[in-house]
Amino acid sequence: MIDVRVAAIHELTPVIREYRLQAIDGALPGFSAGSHVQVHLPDGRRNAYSLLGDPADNSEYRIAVRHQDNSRGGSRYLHQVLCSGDRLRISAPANLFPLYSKARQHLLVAAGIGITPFMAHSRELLRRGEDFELHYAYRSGSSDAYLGELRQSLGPRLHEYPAGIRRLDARALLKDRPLGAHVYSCGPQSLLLAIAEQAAAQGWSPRRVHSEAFAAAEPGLPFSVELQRSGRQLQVGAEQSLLEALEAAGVEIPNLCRGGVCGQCQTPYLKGDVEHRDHFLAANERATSLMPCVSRGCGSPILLDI
Amino acid sequence: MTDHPFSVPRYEPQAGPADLLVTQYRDAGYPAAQQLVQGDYASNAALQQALAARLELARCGLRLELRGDEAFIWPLQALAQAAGLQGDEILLSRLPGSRRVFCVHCAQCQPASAAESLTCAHCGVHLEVRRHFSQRLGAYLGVCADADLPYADLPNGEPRP
Repeated sequence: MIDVRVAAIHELTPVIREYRLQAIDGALPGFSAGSHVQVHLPDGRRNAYSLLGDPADNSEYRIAVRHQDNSRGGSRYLHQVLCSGDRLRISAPANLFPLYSKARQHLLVAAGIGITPFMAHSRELLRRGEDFELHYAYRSGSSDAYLGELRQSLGPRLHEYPAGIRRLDARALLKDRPLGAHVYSCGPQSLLLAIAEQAAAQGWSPRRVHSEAFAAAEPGLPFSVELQRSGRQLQVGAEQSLLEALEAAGVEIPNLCRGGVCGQCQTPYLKGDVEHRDHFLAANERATSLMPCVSRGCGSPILLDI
Repeated sequence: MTDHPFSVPRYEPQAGPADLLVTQYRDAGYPAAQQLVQGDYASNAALQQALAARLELARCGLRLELRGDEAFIWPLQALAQAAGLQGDEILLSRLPGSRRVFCVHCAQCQPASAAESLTCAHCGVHLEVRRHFSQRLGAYLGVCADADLPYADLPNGEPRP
């Protein structure tokens, strides 16, 4: 856990703000391109945000947050309450979206706020002098953060897809690539799926296809859980995830992404109806395991084997 | 599938025919333009150069099959991976024949038959060939077969001067 101070807040677009975070004591840990940190919010929630600064510079961390209308409170708090000079608590960086070191061509594909991990990736790739392209789909004037900066630093490596003007065509994007190509996508699930489907259709090994979803728990209906070993009963609120409810009760479960992709918080359960919302567990694992960061109860109460 | 506490050769399943075949023996059922045959090249180095040139021009989605004994396929597999192919894009069809053995006592590789033991060509230790396999070297691990008689195969059971 690291205590930081908000050194500056910049409005990048009417819906996206950048926060610069500096250590209160000592230095911030270094990080690799693609890393994220969890920001601990005053209500006990934690949201994960990509570090978008230059990985060679750990004097400060930079994150960008898009205001979500249907936010459970995280982006609303950061946008409306947090001020420059305030203290925040964050977890140490972890990387679930690294560059593949053996790739000979990197294809980075971002939509909207999904640009954030690629800010760090493109700086790293420029420094290494590697072959890469950044494909950026955005809505002019709202989800086009860093566009001017990217045009300047990337030149012809940047390929733009402004909404309503040019569609991002996953088929054309992946066509005719050299053997060492890898593709990385970050954005809404529809983008990730389109890239993965086209990659498979063109015979790409799934090992060349990397992605990071917008990792955040969606609200749902309240439900209850029981912990088998301690006999404790917990109520999970509509706006709360099961992981957050466990943490609020003092039960710490290892976790990294808090969005159902990394697999860290996999938890066994013995009975109950589960609505699985993760992208990690295989169908046969879902009968006995769930991912409390996103998945919810949807019927008879859940009995967790912890 | 058996779990081993050590590394063993990994052969990955692959769907459909390969786009390019590199083989020790010509396959009449394969289009000539899509196969590289060992016998057509003056040396293995020349064959590897030819494969590297093909892969340099190849596009993502290519499926490669390497067919031959282990001494033949593993160096080619390393070359193909260095060229950017993923493990599951390469089909390895292993035929009986020679293989490489790494001697843990002198850290050298050498060609060997499928026999369970041999005498190291470099340091003379009588080696037992284990199932432990190095994907990186394309070689099996050779360890002293009898610690009490490490040079059992040499005259007088003595090491070379």
